[in-house]
Amino acid sequence: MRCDEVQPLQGPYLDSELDARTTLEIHRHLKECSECAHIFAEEQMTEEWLKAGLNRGERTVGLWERVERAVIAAGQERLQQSPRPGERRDLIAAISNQLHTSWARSRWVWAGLTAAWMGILLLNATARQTDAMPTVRQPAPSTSEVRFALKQKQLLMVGLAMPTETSSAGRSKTAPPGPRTQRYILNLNT
Amino acid sequence: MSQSAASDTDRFLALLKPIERDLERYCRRLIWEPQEAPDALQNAVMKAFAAFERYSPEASFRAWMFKILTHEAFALNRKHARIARHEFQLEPEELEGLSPAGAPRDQAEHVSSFGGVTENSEPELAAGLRTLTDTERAVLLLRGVGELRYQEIGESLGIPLGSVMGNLFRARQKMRAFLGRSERRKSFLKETGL
Repeated sequence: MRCDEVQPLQGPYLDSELDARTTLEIHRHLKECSECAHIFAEEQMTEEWLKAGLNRGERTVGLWERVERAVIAAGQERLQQSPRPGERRDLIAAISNQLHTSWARSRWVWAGLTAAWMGILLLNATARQTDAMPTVRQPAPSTSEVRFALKQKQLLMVGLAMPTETSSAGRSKTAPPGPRTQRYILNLNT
Repeated sequence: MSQSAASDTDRFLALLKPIERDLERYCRRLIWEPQEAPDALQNAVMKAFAAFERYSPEASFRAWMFKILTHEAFALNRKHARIARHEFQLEPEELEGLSPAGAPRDQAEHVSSFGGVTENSEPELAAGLRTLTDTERAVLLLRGVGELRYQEIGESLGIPLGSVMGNLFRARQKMRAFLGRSERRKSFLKETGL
């Protein structure tokens, strides 16, 4: 490796971020090149000084005690919010107990409610049946009927495709007014 | 369910404890307003705890926590619009003017003459960090304080690996230039007896 290739890699080299092969090549170069070795040594010294400076200052005990207390409190709150398995079983038992008691107290009310519910379901089912459209079975058309229908269709298509008659001036004749238009004009005149 | 929630809290605190000091150092350096650092830390930790169910044990907890804290600090910096007021960019020409060919040597001399890091170097360091952009500062601190790999830094900040290397290079260059300039100023003042 040349000096201009080695020097830009001094940061990653000193941070041990390079792959083994490149690291070895730089290591070899530094053994041979005293100038690069000097630059790298200085860089390392600066880096160590900077690192030592940045890592000054101790943990503030009071602050971290407060933070840890807050974490524990949040953990306890989370515990209270989530139901325990025993609590869940108790809840299911309480609901079934309540249902059983209310059934024992007012059986007729429950029977009435059940009957009403059944009636609603029955009505719903019958309504669906009546809503369904009856399908009328029609006999299949005969061959002559099909031919006749096709002929009619062809005639209609030819009528539509016919070009309108043009006058000598090249303008197309205006279509004669329909019965409704005639009626409208008559009404206006009168 | 209750046991798992309780063990989640214990597990979270067990993972948090060894990195508390580094998180605090990182936060104090990254955030513009030092008095806001405790709130930023607490907010970040609470957010991390709320999202802990989604945290995968295969991932690095350290990198995950630094990521959340970075977002929190950036949000606070943005909220108070400190960046635009405090941050000033050094142009490449200016950098060259500050750090000629022998800049590393100057810096090495400065380091050796300084005789180690003391409290006196703190204002210089803080002022030097202010010359960096938000991303440059975060990358430098995630490497220097968080000791994260380039890949982890990229994931924390949502930037590609090339950008991590570029930002780190620029951050170190600016810091060297700033500290070199500061040292030259000091020696000048000493020589002139001002």
